[in-house]
Amino acid sequence: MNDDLVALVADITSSLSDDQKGMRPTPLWDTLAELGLTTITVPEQRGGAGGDLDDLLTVVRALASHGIDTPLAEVAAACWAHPADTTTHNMPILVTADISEDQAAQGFTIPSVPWGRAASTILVLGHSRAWEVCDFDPVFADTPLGVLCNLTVAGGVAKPFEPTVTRRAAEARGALLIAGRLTGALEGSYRLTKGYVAQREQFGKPLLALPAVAAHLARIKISLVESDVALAKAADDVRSDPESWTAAAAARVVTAHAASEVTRIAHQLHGAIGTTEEYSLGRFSRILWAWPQAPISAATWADRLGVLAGTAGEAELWGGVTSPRIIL
Amino acid sequence: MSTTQQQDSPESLRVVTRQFLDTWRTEHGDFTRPDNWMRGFDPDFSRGLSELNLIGLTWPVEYGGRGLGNVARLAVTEELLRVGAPTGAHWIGDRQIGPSIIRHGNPTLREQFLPAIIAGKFTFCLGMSEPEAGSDLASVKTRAARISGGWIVNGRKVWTSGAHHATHMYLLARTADGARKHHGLSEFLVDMNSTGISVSPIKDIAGEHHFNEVLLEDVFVPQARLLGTEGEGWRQVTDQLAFERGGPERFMSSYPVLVELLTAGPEVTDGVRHELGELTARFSTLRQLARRVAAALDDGTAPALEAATLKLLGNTFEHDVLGVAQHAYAIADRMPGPRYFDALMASPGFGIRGGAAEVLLSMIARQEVKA
Repeated sequence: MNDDLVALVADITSSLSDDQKGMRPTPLWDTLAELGLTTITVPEQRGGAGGDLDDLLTVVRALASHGIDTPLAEVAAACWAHPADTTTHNMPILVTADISEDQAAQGFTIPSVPWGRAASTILVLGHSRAWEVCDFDPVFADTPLGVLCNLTVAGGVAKPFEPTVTRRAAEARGALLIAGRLTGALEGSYRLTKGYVAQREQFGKPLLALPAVAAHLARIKISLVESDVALAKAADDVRSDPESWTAAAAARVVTAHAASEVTRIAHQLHGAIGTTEEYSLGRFSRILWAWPQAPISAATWADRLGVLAGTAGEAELWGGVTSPRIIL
Repeated sequence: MSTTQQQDSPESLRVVTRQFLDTWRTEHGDFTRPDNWMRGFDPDFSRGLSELNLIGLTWPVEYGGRGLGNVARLAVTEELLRVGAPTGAHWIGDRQIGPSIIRHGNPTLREQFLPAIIAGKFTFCLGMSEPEAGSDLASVKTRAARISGGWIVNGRKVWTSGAHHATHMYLLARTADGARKHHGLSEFLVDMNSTGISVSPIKDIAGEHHFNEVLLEDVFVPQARLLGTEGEGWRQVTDQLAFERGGPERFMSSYPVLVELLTAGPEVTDGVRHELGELTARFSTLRQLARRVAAALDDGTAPALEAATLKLLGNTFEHDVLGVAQHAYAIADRMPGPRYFDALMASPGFGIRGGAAEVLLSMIARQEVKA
């Protein structure tokens, strides 16, 4: 991880008031944009900030570890995939889905679009075609989690474009960054919970003195270590081959499990205070609840890995898919 | 890259190991069984590995080792576990006794033991657990009393895997009553043919014999067989545990069942596609975590947290493989093969041996309280 970037994110987030740390794009977004953090990995000749995927992963993870969810990964992905300079668009978002010519002509729905409510442009990357959509209606936008919503697009609105990346690469990258976001939120939830049970006293001593509480906290730590290892392998794999998806898929599956385990335990250990709007645990929980479902969902990635395991044979599973990386 | 470096790379070690396993299978028949790293005792097999210099990989060259790292060793142990190879004759010596002798033993002990373990001549069992000292290892009551020229040992060890085959026992015994029970413990390397040692079997739930009770009655252990420093046994033995806990055998005991399931065809695997995907993701992560533990050992640190995490996650994975297999065969209306039942019978041991799950969890919890 790039320590300078981690420090920069800590600096930005420390100056925010609590109501500015919400999930929706806020003045924070302008700060991130001014610093060039919203277009990491986008080539400079297309208006981007340059930098590599590790830099982007570091920023996404660090923001989530402070309880902040932003469209950083999805916007950077859109600008990365479009041949023109789209950094001037307000908020382009990349999704992957196969839209046929007929659908484009007659209108279609894109399910579960991250940041659909705030997006200005949606880039839809399919296996053979890619579409740019500037006019759409969010539906079911008022889910409590807010991040995902369905978008309906009228016939004839979608315009084809020639993407600079493959769908496979976009999916692998997307999976890696969601796993990074979740790992960051897991770290934040762990830190907050540990601080709380060490400080909050009941029965005349800190909650942490209860063995059952300490064991719960240990479970959170174990989930965090597992997620961190899965993420590191995914980052290594995608770095060496942008279309390599299995480690990113594994990281999605592992972080989704961890998210479910950790939110459950963290809320249990916090008691009633954790359920309030004003207390900050909810910010981590929202990230941890929302993103496992984001397309392509962790469940879908598990299915894909399962199909591969069932068809590729043990030799491929052993020597390829699950083979550890030498570099840590 | 020189030829030696190429031969020593994890990838070429994998190739050599696989070639050996293929040849062995051709010449001696199928050996694959779940949990066979612990249950499968075959000195010829171990000597075969030894001839290819695949035992003692991490040990100094002067004692017959290859001076490689734990990351390189992991390539070999993974390949052995993958096919459920019978490694019980050398596993304990290779994994933890050799490294412990290298860390704490004097040159004489190293000279005496390391080449013999590598050659497959010396086979070790672990004299740790006792009737009153299971997870609470520091409570051992077996006593070594000083006499002229050495020690007289009296006590009883239990759950001693492979004691009926072993030439030597690693023994943890009390040499003094310290202020705390962690004080006054010492480690010894004991000949199993010493007068006063008797071994009796404790059959397991499947009726198999790998556990034993070992009675030590006035057993003379020469002074030279003290490992390391008298009274420092606790500190020394906890060093061993990172080696004992953080390896791939902690998540691969049931792997042969997974292999069998994957080859059972779509009529069995289609019903558990999702579950197989989840197992794949977890397995991939565990392999990477084992790599992280090995790299930390190579850096000279004792990765206690990572090793405990690996064992906890790994033991759950070993169980879950069986759960998925049971589900898959049940909905396909097929009977699982013998590997499944072998692994099922072995499964209660997964989370107990080498540090019980609850103890590891509270160890991690204690670190949380401290930090």
